Amino acid sequence: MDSMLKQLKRNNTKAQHHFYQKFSPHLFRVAYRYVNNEQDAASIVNSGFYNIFKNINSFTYSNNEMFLGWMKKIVVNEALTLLRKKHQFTSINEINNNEPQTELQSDNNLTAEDYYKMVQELPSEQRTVFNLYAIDGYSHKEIANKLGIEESSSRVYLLRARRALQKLVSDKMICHEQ
Amino acid sequence: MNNSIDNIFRDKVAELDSIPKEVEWTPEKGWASYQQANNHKAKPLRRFILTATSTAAAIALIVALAVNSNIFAPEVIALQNQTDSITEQQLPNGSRVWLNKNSSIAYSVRKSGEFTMDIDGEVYLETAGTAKAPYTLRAGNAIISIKSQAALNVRAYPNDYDIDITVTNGSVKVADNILGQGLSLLVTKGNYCSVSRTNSLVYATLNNNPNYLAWKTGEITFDNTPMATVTQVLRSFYGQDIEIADDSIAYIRFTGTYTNLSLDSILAAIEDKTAIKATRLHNKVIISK
Repeated sequence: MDSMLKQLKRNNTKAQHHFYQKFSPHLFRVAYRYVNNEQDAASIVNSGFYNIFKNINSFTYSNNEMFLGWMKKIVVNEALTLLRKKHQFTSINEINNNEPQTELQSDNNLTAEDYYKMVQELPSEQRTVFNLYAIDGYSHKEIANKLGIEESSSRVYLLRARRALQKLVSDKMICHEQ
Repeated sequence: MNNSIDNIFRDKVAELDSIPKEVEWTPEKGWASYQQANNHKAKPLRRFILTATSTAAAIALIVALAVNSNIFAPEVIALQNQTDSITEQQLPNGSRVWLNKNSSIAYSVRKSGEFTMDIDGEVYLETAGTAKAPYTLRAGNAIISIKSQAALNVRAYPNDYDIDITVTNGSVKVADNILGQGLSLLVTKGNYCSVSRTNSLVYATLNNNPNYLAWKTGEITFDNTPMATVTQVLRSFYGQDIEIADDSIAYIRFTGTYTNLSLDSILAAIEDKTAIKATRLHNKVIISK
């Protein structure tokens, strides 16, 4: 990785190509999870790599996990830029934010792809907030700042996403049982 | 606990590292597209050699051209539109430009034909096919280069978060003039490019905003558009504060095309086709059920 990074910092095209081949599938997955659209995801990946290569000199490598985390953050920011362009995230209120807590049982008959697709079925705001909070580990304060909404709205979108996903999982489990 | 939903989904999604089966994108296709868009330059050593051997000749040529073409002091012409309507102007080189409200341009044409224009606000430009020299447009921190016949919309109001460029015809190259480092994006017909004012990110994608020229044509189109977007478009076009009272309305979809109609006429059409009501309250329009 060290020697590859050295070549990337020298703007070596071959190194960039190799690097792109290695990491683009994972980053495409990240982008696709947010925009649910192949063309947009492809565009986000390329904008992401543009910024990764542009800023590689300012990145101090310590381990692969941190490096991948840094690249994911760039791609997520690109995805949010596109989503904010295409869609206005509005602040909303919900009177009753409390709901009975229920356990969600993971179903061994459902694959990782099934879970991935359920996230993609969510409406745009819920999908975005769920991705940011539950999967990519952003706080509600950070999400509110990134989407231009109230922190309370982020909590509401997350709550709705969880409800919707709980129902989707239950429906799929019933289908399997049948 | 609802945290279990988060944990389950996070763990499952983390298992996936490959490209989804239903997509046609591949890393090779992505790389080809990346190279095409980002216009990679020659290697540094070769560039240095070329630069070193041609510098003296270039300087002599520049001085000669400067004396002949008045390159140091081309006349700058300013055009402002501070009215509530659109201004249209034909430029000396045969190009046509339309200025939206509160917009201005300042352009110059060198004897060589090279055309430079600074943009503030929103303009639509159709370059003349007969122009032989390149166009350079500057809008905020965006630099747009045009080398052949093209038509594009540039939106760069001072309070806008980004500079938006939408290409209607031909192709243009877009770069950020702060951190561009020689890299630019090629934006072709039907595509849209955004240049961030705050972090210099340049981003291009397919244009899916049918109303980007509504300010010029007077035509607004909604095609199964969610009400949240409908109100956003109407708010922007009419400069009217429009609020959705019930967030469930945001997901109601609407279809219709309207040309040169008043806001009230469009709101009446929305009321007619959906279960929504539009009520005027002080200086605001409230959309409710």
